[in-house]
Amino acid sequence: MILIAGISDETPVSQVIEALEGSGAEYRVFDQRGVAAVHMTLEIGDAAAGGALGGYLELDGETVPLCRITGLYLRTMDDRLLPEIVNAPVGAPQRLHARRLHELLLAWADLMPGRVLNRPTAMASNQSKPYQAQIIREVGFGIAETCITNDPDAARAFIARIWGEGGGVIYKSISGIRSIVQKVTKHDLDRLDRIRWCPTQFQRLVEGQDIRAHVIGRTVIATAIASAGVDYRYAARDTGTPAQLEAVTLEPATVARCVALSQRLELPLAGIDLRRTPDGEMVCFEVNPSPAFSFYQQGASQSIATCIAHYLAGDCD
Amino acid sequence: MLVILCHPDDTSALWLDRQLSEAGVDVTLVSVEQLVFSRSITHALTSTADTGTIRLADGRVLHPEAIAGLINRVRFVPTQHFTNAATGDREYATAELHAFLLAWLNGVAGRVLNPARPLLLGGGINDMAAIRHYAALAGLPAPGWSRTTRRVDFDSPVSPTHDVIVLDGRGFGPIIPAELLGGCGRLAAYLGTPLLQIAFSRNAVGRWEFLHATAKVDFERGGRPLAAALARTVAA
Repeated sequence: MILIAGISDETPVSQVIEALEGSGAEYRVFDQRGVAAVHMTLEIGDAAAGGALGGYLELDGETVPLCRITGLYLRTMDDRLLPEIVNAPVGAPQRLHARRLHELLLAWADLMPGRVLNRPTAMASNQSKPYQAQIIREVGFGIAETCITNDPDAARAFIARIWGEGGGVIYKSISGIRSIVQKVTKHDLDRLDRIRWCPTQFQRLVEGQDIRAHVIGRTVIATAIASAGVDYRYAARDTGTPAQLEAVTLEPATVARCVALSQRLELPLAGIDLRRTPDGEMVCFEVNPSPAFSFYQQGASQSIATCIAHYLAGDCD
Repeated sequence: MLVILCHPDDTSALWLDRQLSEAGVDVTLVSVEQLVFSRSITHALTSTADTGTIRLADGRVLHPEAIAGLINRVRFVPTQHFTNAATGDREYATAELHAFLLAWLNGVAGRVLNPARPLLLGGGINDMAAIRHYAALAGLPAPGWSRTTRRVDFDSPVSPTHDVIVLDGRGFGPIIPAELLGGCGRLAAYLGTPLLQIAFSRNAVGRWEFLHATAKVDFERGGRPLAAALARTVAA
């Protein structure tokens, strides 16, 4: 049995549910919006039992033994921000129940022996872009030259050097908190003193073709993105023209590197952001552990949800 | 140079610093607060390496590429300088500092004990289900454990009688049976925490029970042999 955990009408989640429905796989859905009616018990066996996992999930009037669940698609939002919880007072029973349930669910997701997309601990690597970049570099992808600093003089020197070489510089968040990638302009130089409060990430602008590679197990589905914007996700807003998406086939070496990167990060489902430079180098920016693949699936007519469903069912590696 | 990175109230780290200094080890004590509130931070990543400079307020300068080893005792990110910021800005800046520190620790050239983890900068793991699961898997005498949303459970407070420390599988502190020590080494490996403190209770009839494990090691319990082993291991 496969368990889907998340908001059931959120597009990526609903597309996986639809794909599972189409494949005939047995599945259940834990919709976070109904968290108040869901219960969970997690059991850890003693030494004689080798710490075996047990317990059950009480869902929609059914008690599902955890040992029956062999695949898990986890795309949960922070339970503290659920509309049903966000305004509940600290210590309110519904808030405590939701927290406890999610703690148990995530603890089990880290330990359960089946196929998990993705395990919570592994997903945390996305909380630091430079940390991910260090790992990306280890598997052989190029990374963008980066300077993280709270020293305005160091930032000015980095920017001046790259501008002097005819290049551009962008800035973006260091953490996993979503930020819109912005190009550094001359106007920004006047407010660089503000970075003294907190280190800020500056990066050499890498010119080239954006590619999003979704890794599902050992399968790689790649999408090429054409956009005039610095951050193609906001192209329509910034340039008036939305990004154009197209399915693309990557060369075997890049495919192998994408799979190696997802394995190194222990993320069997990964959304890898790549850019192919004019001289053919493949630069990798980050790896999204919970990719909103529906944007690419719809834009380039690709079957990412179906591939996820097959992986969860154990039909492919 | 070996760096001990800790908070000012970490008496165990201060003890280790004193032991290592007296033994003639080239060690420098840096507080996490000194690092975060330093005069300047610059960290560069290229396709080949990490380099950087942190200028502390007391004039010392840290280069991650020149640190031969680091004892990592980070428990939290100091954010007093964001106290008066709006909640959203404070949360953003805290996440940014956490993200930077994770990469900085991971970019240290020498060995870092324990390695920083994305969820825990000081390394290790604090999820009780995982610790119990891996302790039992490692063959330690861990009793069964369960939690449910149906009621609130608490572990019965049992005081440890033996706190054992393992470093790369070698035991320090009180003497325990060899099979238990072997299990401690396996648990540390499962948890990806080479330096681990494991608490046991031994009752009147000699029955051992696993209680918990932590990466927040009390170095003093391992004594001078642990201090010497750390100096050898981290600076090797």
